[in-house]
Amino acid sequence: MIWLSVSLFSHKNQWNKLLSRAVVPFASKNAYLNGFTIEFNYLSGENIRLSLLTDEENAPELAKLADKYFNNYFLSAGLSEQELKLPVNGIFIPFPSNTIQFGLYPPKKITADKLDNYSLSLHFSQIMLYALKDDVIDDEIILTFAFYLRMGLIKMASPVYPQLVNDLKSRAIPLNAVSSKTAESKINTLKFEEVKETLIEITRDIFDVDRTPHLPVWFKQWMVICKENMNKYGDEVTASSIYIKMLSLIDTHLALSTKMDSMLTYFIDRILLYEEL
Amino acid sequence: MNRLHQLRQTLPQNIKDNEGYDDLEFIVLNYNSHDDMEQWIKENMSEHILNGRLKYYKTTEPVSWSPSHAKNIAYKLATGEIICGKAADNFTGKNFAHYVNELFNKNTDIVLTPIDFHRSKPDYQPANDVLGEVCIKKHDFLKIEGFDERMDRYGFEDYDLINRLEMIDVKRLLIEDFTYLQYISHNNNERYALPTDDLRAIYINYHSPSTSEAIFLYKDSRFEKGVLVDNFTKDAANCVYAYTPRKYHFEYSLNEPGWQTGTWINENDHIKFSPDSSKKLIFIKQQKDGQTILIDTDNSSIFYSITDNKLIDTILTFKHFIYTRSIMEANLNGKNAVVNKGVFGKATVYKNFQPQPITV
Repeated sequence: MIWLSVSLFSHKNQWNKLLSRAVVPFASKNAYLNGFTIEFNYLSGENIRLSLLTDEENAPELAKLADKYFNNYFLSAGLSEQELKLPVNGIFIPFPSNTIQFGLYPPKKITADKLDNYSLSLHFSQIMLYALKDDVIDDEIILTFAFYLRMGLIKMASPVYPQLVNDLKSRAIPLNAVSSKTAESKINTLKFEEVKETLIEITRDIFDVDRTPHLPVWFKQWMVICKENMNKYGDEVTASSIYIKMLSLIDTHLALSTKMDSMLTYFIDRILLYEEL
Repeated sequence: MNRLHQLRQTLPQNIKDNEGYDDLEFIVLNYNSHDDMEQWIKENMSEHILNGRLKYYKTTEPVSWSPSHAKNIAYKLATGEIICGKAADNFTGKNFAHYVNELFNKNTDIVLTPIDFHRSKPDYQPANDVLGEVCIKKHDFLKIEGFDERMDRYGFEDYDLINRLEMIDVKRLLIEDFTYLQYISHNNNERYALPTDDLRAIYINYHSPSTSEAIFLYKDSRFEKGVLVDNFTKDAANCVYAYTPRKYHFEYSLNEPGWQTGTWINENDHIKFSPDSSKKLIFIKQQKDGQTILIDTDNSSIFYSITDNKLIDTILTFKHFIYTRSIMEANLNGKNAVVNKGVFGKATVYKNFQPQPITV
């Protein structure tokens, strides 16, 4: 089997349309497709990396179909163009928005026995689709989504990795101490005060069993995935490495910048302290 | 050159790690360093010099670091059948000499290297810091006349050496045991200096997501102009690349015919370029949104001034490596196994602090 390397360039505020009106229909009616993953990406312009899993003999045909389908979609969808402001901060200009490009990350051949290594990524992509296809995507939405995912992961990791919450809380103390010293931590502190109430609400929804039924379906699916993975081996050492692997899965798929990652980490550590979880 | 701070860590360790192998000499070449290297060797390595394990040579002639020339001198001074080149920041690893001897006994006509130029092993990724390590038969080294001395700055001289050895049927054997590829990590400022002092300005004309044309204006009125290519993103609209990996050796390259050179002059609101091999070009200089731009007189191209320091460094680094890489590629394409036209590694050196000069 092979993962085809496809990149869909479009302005971030159009990504939800691209997912719901193009990616989902393409994937649902394609006989050559064995699975697909999506990852946000910003190299050479805002884009979604769509990796298509197929049998090697079907790769040329599937690539042609994707080329034709997404080109037609971009032609007819009437999505807004992203204005190119020169000079850009790089040697080369980004790819034009509303185009499909190929091979911007390496296509990967895999054997059937290795397919299991991709199951997390395949499931996570489905969760991204369900959670993000309906609303205009921006940094705030991505940050909130990532907050849900990380908090959910912490909740499901805690029973097998009891030290986790204490570790995260202890990390929060020095962060707080330097909060007035660096520009980044100042921004994090200000932003935290702005969104604190919302984050507390989300956290209570996640951790309070009585409120759990009101959580979105995609989030419940995420909790199931977290539980399955965290409980796979049952010991704390392995659980801590699975926790890190799943954190990295979230960061990779959402292409969180260092700044966003730092903000998110700060929010989570503060909330854990604040809520005394 | 000027790497005593690393040598004082690596040399004693390397001698110690190979003390079980008798038929071995360590050659240290002081390539006109100005960092008390001689004094340190005198004070700390005398024992090894006296017992013949270490041979210390010094040359006072070089004014700047030329890796090909420096290595050629050191390799010519080596008296053994097999020469192992290590930089001042490289550790040999324990029993490296035994390892090398074993491989050369098992295989005929080989060169040991960490450079997998043909990408024969997809997961083999040694650090850039050790790519200059090489173990070669002195006979083969002399046959191809050593490192190409046109490569007078850091980068690709070791790639080129191995490529040319392959042309005379010496087989590339990868150093797969990373025990022998340990090093002291350091930043690029110690490896090469970017020519920012000579530079007046850089302008870029953006052609596409994978090609841009750059003009470098130097303070001495020279200019260089060329088209840079990102091979990683080239022809990305072609769906074949969804399932076929691109074939390229390096992420970036320079389009043919390479750098166009000539002189430039600033006249009022325009810049006049006089290329060495084509007719004059005139660009009108304008300010747009606070940016300096150059517009071709027939309005066909716009060049934007690059002012971001990080981006300037990126472009200059690319340009630095393109210089030596172009020589390597020319040798490869022209199948030039032998270089230097009979003259290489020439220098006057002084052995073990003695005053008598030796001509190499």
